[in-house]
Amino acid sequence: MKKLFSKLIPNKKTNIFAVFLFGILSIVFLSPAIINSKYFAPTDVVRDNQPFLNQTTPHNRVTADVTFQFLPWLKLSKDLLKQGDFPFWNIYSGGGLPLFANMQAATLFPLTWLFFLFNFKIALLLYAFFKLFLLGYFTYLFLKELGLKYEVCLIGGTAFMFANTNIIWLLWPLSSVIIFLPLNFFLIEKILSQDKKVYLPAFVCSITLSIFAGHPQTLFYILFTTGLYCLFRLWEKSDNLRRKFIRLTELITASVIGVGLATLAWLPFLEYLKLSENLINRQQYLSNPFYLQKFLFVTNIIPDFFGNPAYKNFSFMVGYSEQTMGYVGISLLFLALYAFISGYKNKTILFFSSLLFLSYCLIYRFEPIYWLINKLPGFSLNYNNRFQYIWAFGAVILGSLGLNDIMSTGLNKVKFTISTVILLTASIFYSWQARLFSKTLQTPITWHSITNWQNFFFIIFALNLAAGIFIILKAKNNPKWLWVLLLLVFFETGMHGLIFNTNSTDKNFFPSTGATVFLASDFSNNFGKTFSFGNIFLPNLSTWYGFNQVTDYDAFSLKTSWDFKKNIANFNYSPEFTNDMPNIKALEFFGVKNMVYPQELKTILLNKNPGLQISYQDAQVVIFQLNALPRAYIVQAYAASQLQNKIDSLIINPDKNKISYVDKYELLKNGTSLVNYRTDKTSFLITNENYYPGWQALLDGKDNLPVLNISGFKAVSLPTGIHSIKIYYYPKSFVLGIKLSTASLLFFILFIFYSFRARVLKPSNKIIQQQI
Amino acid sequence: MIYLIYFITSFLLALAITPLVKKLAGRLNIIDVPKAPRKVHERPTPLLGGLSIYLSFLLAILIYLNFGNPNFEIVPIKFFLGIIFGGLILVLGGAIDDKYNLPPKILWLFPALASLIIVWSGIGVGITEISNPFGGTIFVGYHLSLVTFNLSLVALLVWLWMMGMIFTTKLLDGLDGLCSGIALIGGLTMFALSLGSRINQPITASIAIILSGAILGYLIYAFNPASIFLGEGGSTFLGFMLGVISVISGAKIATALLVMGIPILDVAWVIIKRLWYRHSPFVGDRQHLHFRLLDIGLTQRQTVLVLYGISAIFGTTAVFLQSMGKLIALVILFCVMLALAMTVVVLYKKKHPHVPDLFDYNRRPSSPGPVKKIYGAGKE
Repeated sequence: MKKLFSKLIPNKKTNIFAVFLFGILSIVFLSPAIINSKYFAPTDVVRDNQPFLNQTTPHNRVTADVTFQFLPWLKLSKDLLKQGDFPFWNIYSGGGLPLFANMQAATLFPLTWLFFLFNFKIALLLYAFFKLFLLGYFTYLFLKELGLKYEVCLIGGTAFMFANTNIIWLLWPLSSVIIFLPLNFFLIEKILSQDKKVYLPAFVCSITLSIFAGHPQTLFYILFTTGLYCLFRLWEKSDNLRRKFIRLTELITASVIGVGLATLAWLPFLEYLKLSENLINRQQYLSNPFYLQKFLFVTNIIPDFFGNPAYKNFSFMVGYSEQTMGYVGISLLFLALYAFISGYKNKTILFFSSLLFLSYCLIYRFEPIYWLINKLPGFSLNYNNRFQYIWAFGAVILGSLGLNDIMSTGLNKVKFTISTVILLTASIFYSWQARLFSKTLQTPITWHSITNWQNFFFIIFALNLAAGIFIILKAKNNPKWLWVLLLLVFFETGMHGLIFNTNSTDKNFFPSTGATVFLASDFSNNFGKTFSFGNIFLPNLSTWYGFNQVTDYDAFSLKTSWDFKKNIANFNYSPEFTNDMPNIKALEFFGVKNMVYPQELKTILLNKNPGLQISYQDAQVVIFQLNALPRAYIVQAYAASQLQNKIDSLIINPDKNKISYVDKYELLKNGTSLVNYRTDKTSFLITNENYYPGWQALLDGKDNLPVLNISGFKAVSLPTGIHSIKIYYYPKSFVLGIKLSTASLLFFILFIFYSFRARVLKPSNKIIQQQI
Repeated sequence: MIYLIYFITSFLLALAITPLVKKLAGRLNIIDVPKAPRKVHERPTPLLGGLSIYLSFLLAILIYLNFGNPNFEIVPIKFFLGIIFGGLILVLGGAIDDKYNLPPKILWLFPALASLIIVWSGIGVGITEISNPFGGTIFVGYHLSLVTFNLSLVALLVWLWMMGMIFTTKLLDGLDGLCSGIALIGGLTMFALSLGSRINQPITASIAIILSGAILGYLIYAFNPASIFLGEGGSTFLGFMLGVISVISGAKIATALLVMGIPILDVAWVIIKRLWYRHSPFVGDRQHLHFRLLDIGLTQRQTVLVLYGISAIFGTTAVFLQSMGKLIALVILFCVMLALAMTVVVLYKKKHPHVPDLFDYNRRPSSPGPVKKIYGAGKE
């Protein structure tokens, strides 16, 4: 038996064994989905609303974005690529929105390609598997590069791969970017510690791929932290100034080339960001409001203190995803504290301790440092509470350093005791503070039961801490106990995360209903848009089913589209605001043909609007048919200066007599449209599609006409006569991006050449003497 | 109740930090060695007491900022940063001076920079009117545009005020616990005044009480016989803090003048005298009132307690007086100072009828004599 195992399992203390271990742990984590042949995705959340209601209760509602955004985007990207089109544009969201430019679609990221190659069930598993595996393996490599003991590196890798930050955001692009945090640190170690420069091109690729991974905010934090680490390592290295300068120049050049290579991804994004409503909103904040209350630090110790959205009887919580990212397990947190107390003279420990302090200040608004950091470019507009990624990584590395210290130099009993006392005191203090806060919340469960849960979790924490301390004390004398510690760390993090994630059955994976079939068919035949009440068809769910939903939403939102809907048409874009009755005339003007309401509101609506026609209904929803304007129509030409006002007034008080219709409108793939018209007066073609830079018009297949922005709609000034106009998207920013990326590619080739041929820098005499 | 917690917190912090700072001063060899005529202590004593007050104050203020829920719309974070960085410059600059005994002509640099930081942070700069003791207000919000600089009169006044306060405590630092004790009385007076319904500045009150707690914690070690001295950084930091508290949100300058009245007038008197006799105003001597009191036979403790008493009386009075009353009190203070100075001179002459007044300039010299730089390594 033993021989069989030794054949099956690679030799211990090799990278192959680490690969094996992290692979096995990832598979264990995904095993419920694998064994039961389920989708590793929280798509059962659709069962919360009509028309999908059945007996199913969603397992975890806070992971909804995956269902309402990422998976529909992936499906659309996949479909468009299959048709031979690049997924630039999403015609199903509002009046059309950029898809590639929102970055979170992450079309160019290699792990995203899994969805293009495999069916969703397999792709989801592989996607999660590779993410977890890479997170663990890169952390392991970095720790190993720091010279830590083999088992300690494995424990650190396990803790970070299953840290809450990665588990909560596992199917988000955020965790795709986080993969590059340990990788960057590892590469910096390699680049600075060796004269071989093969790692420089790898660093370039790491920067490029982290941009492709699709989450600019996370990317910003990771590049910032990487920069800090790079400066720290250069500072503490015993090289002469010239060598340090050369190293720094190489790293900066590598970063610039890495960013340059990814220009085709970030340039369209910047264009979109510039036109984003959300950016403008954030710029109006007097101070950055994205931080956590201090008592929420308790979630680093007891992650479920405020409940867990996946627990059936304890889903009382506020912003679980945003608050509990810092949890890395009790054992590693304790060891991090020990490292901080005992090893402050070690520069690496000092760096990671400082990083943790900086993270704490930023996440929990520790003044005045919070204020100061927010003065740095980029921080004032970001969700700084999400700096918890960095906190988690720092805590894991610091904890690993602490454990390594115990294993190599022995345990300092006094400092070990102080660490225990501090952690216990902190847990009691923060639990007390958090409990005071809990009392002020109105919750669906009683205060008494919350207290019971909180007591229960506190006991679990205390037992966990006791077990951790016991194992560490044992491991001090017998390193075999480190394997037990690894298991404990996996239970603290991985098993906790396993409960959090959802596996959906085939029936709950974007189920089809009569309403979705009706709407999709109506859109493909008549391009009729849909307005849905409340949470019915949350944004981008329509993208999956193939019909257009006017309540568009992604992380940005087009300002022009927002302004039209908010100020002129009097309906808000965001689903939570659509409970009020919208301006039906404005909806019609916007091309809304179908208005979806829950069946129980049918009578009320019909009483209010007796003229409404029902086009479809079933047990859950009723769809009213509006007299929508077509997707494209012609209005009389006004002087350019008057046009905007005229159109606005038309929208506020639609007069269909002033509108004439086109002969033919065809919506081709990816938003391209073909319009045949005839007119004897100079006039304008208006489409109820979002205006966005890059859209162009071609008259009769030869002459280019400018596409204008009228009330956020695409419009074209029409010559008289009988003509056809093709309106198509030519993403100038993407094209420019490709050019710059290509130029960067040339530099990259030169850089690879330099990296492999570069003269090995000899250490100065002074350094040699020091070494002697 | 909450103020008591702040006070105890900073007090305990100072109590814990001061012994550590003493050790640090010993390790860095920042020690004050007894040297006549100004150094009246008997054994080498560690300096850097200012660092211990600064650190205790800093930690307590961080706790206050993060757990005391202050309203940053009234006192912006920038103000606190100004205090923290300004104080840091003084404490570090002071430590450098204590260690390397910098020449007097560059000693004004650190206070000037610290005061500039206060002006930059905006403390007091928003004041456009000050109370007129004879009724109404005086407009001070003038701006002078110089090409690209928009120089505000108030900014200039705040800078001068800060410099004045810093130099007052700097020159006051001559006996064990004198400077810190007077600063403690100043801090407590500011606290009481800020809590009153007329001023009602809870944030200023918190800063003042935190400072007072830190000073008291330090004073336990620094009262005669002192085991640690403030040092250059400490003496300037205390004046700096009193200066800041009196201009933050306004309305406390007259009170500061009253509490610090005796030292201010003493300093003014000595500086005028030094200038008259063409001596550097930055070079120390034994002209100060506290040295005079020692010379007439009072012990260090008695001298310090007399000066505490005068400051406390005027401080307490200031809390209850309106603008006009404060003006009258200032006049009385001036008279008290004059009477005190005269009494000291008379008593000194009586006690030493045949001893020439070593430190009195009985005639104006044509040029300043050789001056030994003994000023700087402050002594309490």
